[in-house]
Amino acid sequence: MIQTEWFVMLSMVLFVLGTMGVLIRRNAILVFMSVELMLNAANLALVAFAHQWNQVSGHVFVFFVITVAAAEVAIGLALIVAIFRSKQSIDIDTLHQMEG
Amino acid sequence: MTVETFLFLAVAFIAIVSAASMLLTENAVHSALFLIVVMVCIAFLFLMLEAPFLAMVQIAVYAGAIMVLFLFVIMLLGAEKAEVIEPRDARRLRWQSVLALALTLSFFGLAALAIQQGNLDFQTVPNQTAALRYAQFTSGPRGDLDVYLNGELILTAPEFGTTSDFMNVPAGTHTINLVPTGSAANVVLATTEVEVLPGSANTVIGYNTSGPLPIIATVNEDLSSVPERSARLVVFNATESDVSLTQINSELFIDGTRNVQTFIPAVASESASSAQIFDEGTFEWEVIEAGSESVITASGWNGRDAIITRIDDLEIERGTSQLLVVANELLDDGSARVLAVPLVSRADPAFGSPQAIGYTLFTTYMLPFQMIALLLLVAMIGAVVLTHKEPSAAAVRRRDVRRKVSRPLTTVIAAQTGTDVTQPTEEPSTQPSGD
Repeated sequence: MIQTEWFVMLSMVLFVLGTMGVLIRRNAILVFMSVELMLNAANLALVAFAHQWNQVSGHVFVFFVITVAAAEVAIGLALIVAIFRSKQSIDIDTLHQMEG
Repeated sequence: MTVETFLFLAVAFIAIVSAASMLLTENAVHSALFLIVVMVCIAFLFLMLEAPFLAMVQIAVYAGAIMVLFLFVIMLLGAEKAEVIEPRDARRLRWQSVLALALTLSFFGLAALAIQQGNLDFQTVPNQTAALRYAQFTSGPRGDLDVYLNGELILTAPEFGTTSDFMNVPAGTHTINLVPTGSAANVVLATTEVEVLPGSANTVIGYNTSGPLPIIATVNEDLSSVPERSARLVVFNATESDVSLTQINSELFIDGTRNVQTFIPAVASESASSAQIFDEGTFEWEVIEAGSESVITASGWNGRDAIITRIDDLEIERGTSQLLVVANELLDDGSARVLAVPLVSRADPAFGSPQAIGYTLFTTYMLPFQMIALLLLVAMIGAVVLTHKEPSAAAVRRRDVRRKVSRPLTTVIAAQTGTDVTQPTEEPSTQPSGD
């Protein structure tokens, strides 16, 4: 039986790696993928705690997170495609002005 | 080191290395593939945490749908090497990477300290409520009874053989009083103190024996999950003799004797049997006097006197937990008959199974579920609207021009066949005038 702390620790490491990706990488798609990694890390912690407490609510939350992630990816990638059309680049450093 | 620990460490190592590789590799396609590896690792960890359904959803939705979408967009935009277009020196905010690294590392340290110092308390039981219900098995000339829980009326004159729904009560000691219907609450015929444990399910049964007053007993029901295609059966014997529960085999009268099998032997008077797991199906049962099994089996119908009551077509439905109450029903003329009434309740589905998640989703989390569905719909429409390309005015003009200069069909045919089909033929004259 593996202790819940281990899963929480792993979840934290993955979350930090995701945060690092968001802050350091300049490719908008990479930033999105890092956000997905952070969501997955949070899911892992939720499932670990659900297992610890024998409460199935944690699983339902993970279910919701996955759904929200799917919606977020659909909108995010559509935005990236739209930005690429007007800017010919998805480097987020070039997106420093609000005019279209 | 156990196999489980080894597997966890191996999978955790692969996940961390893949996540780090995802950040470090220059090619966006490689990053996406590394992220798929991380997600499959997390799905594996879900399996270790007894969440098989979520593991499958994780692979299907994340590793399947979402990552395919990512790869598709990367390929569509040709964005594999988007970051090397610009030389590093020309980047704005050059110091940002260093600062980000320092901040995330300090965040890592802080979070690790929080987990280590936080002393996650895994001992306290969070579920302090319990389920309680009342089953009515008193009857007879004394008339109807009202049921009071801690001095509050919860049931008015329930019928024989019926039960209330499970009520959520705080764990602890509760008082159940039986009061004749129409009397004041302090005219108590029978009272009992029920001690309910956190997370338990308890059935309080009021019944009659030959004595003048009703008796109250409590059965602690086990509603935990049952194996697939089976159900749990407990017998509560509210009569004054010991009983056994036998099942009549479908092949009656083999070799001239009745072929019966004892399933729950010798349930003592006014007590509950231990739980038995049965396969699903519909069976004929008999409640017989304990110790009379051999009489019935060996001597056929001679043992009829030993049969207390028959239960025709008792349905053992999968995933249920049944409490079969064998009780005296006092009739108005003073005589008594024994009835066996099944109280069927749903056993909890196995933890992490689709049934368990679906049940929680459609009861407690129905509104959030609907909101999420709406959100997905809006996201879908939003994605279509965002990527929809309005044809520009120039494109529309080009299309019109192309239509104008396109040659008539007749000249195309003429060029290909070598004959001049533009010459007027006799066709117009032969066609009906109305055409």
